Amino acid sequence: MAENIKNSIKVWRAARDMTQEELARRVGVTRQTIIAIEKNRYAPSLELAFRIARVFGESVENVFRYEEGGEAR
Amino acid sequence: MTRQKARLKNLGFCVAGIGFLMLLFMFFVTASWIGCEVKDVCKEAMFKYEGDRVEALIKLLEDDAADFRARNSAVWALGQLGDARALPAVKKHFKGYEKGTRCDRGAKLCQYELYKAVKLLEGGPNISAFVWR
Amino acid sequence: MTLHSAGVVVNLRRAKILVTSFVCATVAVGATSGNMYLALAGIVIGALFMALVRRRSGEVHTDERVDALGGRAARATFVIMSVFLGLLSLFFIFIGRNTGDGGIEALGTVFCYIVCLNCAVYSITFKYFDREHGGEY
Repeated sequence: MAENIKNSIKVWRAARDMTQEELARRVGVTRQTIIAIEKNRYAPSLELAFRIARVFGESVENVFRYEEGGEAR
Repeated sequence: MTRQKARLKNLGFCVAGIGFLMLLFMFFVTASWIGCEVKDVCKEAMFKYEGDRVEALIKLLEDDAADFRARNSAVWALGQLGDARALPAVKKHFKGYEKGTRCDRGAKLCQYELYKAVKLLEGGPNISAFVWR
Repeated sequence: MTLHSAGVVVNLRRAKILVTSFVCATVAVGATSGNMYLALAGIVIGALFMALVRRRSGEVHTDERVDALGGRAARATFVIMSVFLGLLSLFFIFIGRNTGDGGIEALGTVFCYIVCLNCAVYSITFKYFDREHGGEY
């Protein structure tokens, strides 16, 4: 579980009217990976995080944030 | 050294290491299998004849009434065991061996088997014996 | 799902069904007529065709998450199998020595060698990837 890394992909997707399938296709991963990231069950690599942020035209910090207090890994 | 060369060297070491391990594994498995077969032949001989395993195998080799296949197995096992006590008995049956001669292990004592046993009993190298002896 | 990607998924699914039916049919015919080569050819052609369709579909099948999961699954499998085979080899060697059955003892010894080989190959591949991604060059 990616306890400490939270994201707002769902919000940005809704704002851009984009489906999980489309986002997955544009960043080159499977839809299951997007679902896992959205549910904070998987922390993406730095490269994938940048790719996702670039699709939304945002900086990585606007899409992903690090929150203290979760399970340390 | 360029990165490409270093990567190739790393890959070479990895492949060579794994290949060597596979060969080592096959050697140890084969040696264990040989040991298991030798012990089986000894067990069968000791069931029928008295004495320790070498004595029992010699008695089986000398037994004209015994099956030729069993006697050939006894010759092979004596060679594998490498006990010098068996040398006179094996030499007694060894008449000479011509390269390429095939033998019917079920019909007579195989001269090639005797030849191999004599070589081992005279101190020839047996690379698999240290695994199971 | 875009129309394009939807079409790709549907085509891929259709291709999978077709290839599976083809392979099943050839294997069945090969088995009943006793023609091993026909069954083998069916399997090989099916595998090749499927690989071609997958490549041309452009669909993503693996990504970093699948790779990460694969790595964890492989490590878990390695640990489970090593422990299981190690214990099994001990059991066989113990039973073989007690009953005097050389075959069972040899089987235990072979299992023991397999565990050793497993660990050694793991160490070598780990070292390989460590050097490959460890920034030594």
